[in-house]
Amino acid sequence: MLKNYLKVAFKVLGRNKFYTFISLFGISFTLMVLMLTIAFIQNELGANKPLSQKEKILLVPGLRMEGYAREEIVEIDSTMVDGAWKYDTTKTENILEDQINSTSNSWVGNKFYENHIKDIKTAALTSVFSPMQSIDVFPNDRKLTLTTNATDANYWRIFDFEFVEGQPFSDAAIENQAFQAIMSKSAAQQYFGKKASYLGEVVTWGKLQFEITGIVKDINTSIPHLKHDIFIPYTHLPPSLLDYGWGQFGNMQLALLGSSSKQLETIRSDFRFIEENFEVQEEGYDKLTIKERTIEELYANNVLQNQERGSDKTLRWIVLVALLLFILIPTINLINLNSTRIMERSAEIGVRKAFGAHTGNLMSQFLLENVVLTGLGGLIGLGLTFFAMNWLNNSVWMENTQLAFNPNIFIYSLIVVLLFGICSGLIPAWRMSKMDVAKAIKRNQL
Amino acid sequence: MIKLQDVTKVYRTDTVETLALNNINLSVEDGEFVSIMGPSGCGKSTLLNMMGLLDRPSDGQVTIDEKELKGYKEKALAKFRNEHLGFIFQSFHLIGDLPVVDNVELPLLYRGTSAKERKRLAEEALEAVGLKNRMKHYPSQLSGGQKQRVAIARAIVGKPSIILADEPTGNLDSNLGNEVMDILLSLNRDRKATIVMVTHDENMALKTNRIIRLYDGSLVN
Repeated sequence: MLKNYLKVAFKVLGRNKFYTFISLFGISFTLMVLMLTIAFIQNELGANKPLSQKEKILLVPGLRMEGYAREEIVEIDSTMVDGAWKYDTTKTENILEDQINSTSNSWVGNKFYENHIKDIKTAALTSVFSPMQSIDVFPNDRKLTLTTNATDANYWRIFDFEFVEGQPFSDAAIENQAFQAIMSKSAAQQYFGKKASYLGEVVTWGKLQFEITGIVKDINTSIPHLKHDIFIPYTHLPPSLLDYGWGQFGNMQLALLGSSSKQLETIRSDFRFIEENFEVQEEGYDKLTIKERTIEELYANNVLQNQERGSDKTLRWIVLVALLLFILIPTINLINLNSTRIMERSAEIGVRKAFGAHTGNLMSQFLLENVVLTGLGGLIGLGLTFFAMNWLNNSVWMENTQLAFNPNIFIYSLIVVLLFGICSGLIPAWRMSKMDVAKAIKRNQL
Repeated sequence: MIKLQDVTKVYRTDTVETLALNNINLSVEDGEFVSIMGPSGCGKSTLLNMMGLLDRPSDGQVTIDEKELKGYKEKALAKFRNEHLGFIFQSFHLIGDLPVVDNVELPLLYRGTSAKERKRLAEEALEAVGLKNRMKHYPSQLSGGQKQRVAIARAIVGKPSIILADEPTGNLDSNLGNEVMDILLSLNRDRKATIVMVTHDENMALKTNRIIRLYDGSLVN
């Protein structure tokens, strides 16, 4: 039976070439966009190095201070003393927590980290680092701008960068302010030119010189806090960058690693405890907030241009709805095309029914035809995806992105293809298989 | 045996009600070759559709081989048609996308017969209509007479007890029509198949055992 259905399926495809072209184009193009989108999401947010542990990482990009509005209540008591009125005035101040009067946002200070976060018991590891501004260096009297990050040793334990050569900073190197640097491969190539090894080479940064002790593979994600050209021990930072302002602020950011993704909630609870017990000394401010985010929340904050916790869920819904809509449009189009196509075959349906086909037989026949059609569209879509990925990976405007074809994407696409075939074939197949036999036979010639 | 009791068929639209069959009582005995005649629109094909379980009566009962089929669900009716009935249509209704052999195998496909057995039975049926050498041809490569012979092969491949033919010679010239009629007569004679044939051709009808005449949906005898 399957062979018979397949024969008809291929004949039908060849019979109406324009319809087949429109259908295949719709399916393959949609699939290509879907697969590229998934590949892009995986590139940005997949558990790829250095974010293999991303589900267990909590970042603290900054702190926030808030000052609430106040209202002063003056109570005047009057009493008669020796025939004269005596007035007693009492002033009380109410803090209006729903009216924020002043805010101050900044990165985290090293002292705040040392005093409140470093030894937090619910985290397996904590790290302090400073993704600073760009610096200019001059190899061979040529100006080169590098993005920098000053890190501790735990940074490399939390973010598992792939080392091409060398190794991460040791605790001793951080403690002793070792003049060591880790560079990304592309930055090292720019600075030193192409070499077999860069270990032992020296980078000159103003009056300081750092020996290269590690080279890491360039990373693809556009998530900040990770993509830098050169890394140095954070203990080289001047005190003015480590801490400033009121003590809790500074030029640092924090990363915490939980023992599991669930543990992050416990760490968050600890942060709320710290906030409640933190005594704000500065006049005009009442509350300190730790702005911790998961990697996905941080990414969603960047995309949605907000500062909300839980933005990742919003972004996930937006992407999901957009993808569903994107699939829905060609599916409706295919349902329409299929209905017309199957209608043309009503006499065939009538004959098949007359000779013993029941609704289930006809449904499976038309669904198989659709799965064949969508399968072909899927294959073309896969080819187009390879082509488009290659093109995008080599284009200059997606330099942070290195889309990769992986089995997950293939499985996603197979599921999408199957859903496509079933959704677009089910409704017309059901309608036509229910057609009255005598009427169907009369409708047209085969 | 086919038995119709008080069969009425009314077609309804929003505005019009058409009485296609009016209280038909009729029996066709096993091994009988019956022709149905009447003017266009008198209900011949509707009557054949009732016998072939391709349509349900508005009222009355259809009994085939002593089975009252009124309560049968769609799937059970399909199975019954597949096992007991064979159809021949005026316009042949061969599936153009399939070669002759696959067209002939069609009833066996829904019976779950193995591919090897299907092919053997299809060859046998095609041989019976003299078209074994056209097995791999497509319907578009055949003449009208050959197409109708393929349609007959398809109708007999499952060895049904009843063959229903709706103007099987209507689209053929007299020579080809006679060829097809001869095949039907031999099926009736040699295989004892019960045949009910709708026709406009008095000469063809005269070759059958009995003529049933219809006029405005009623039997005229």
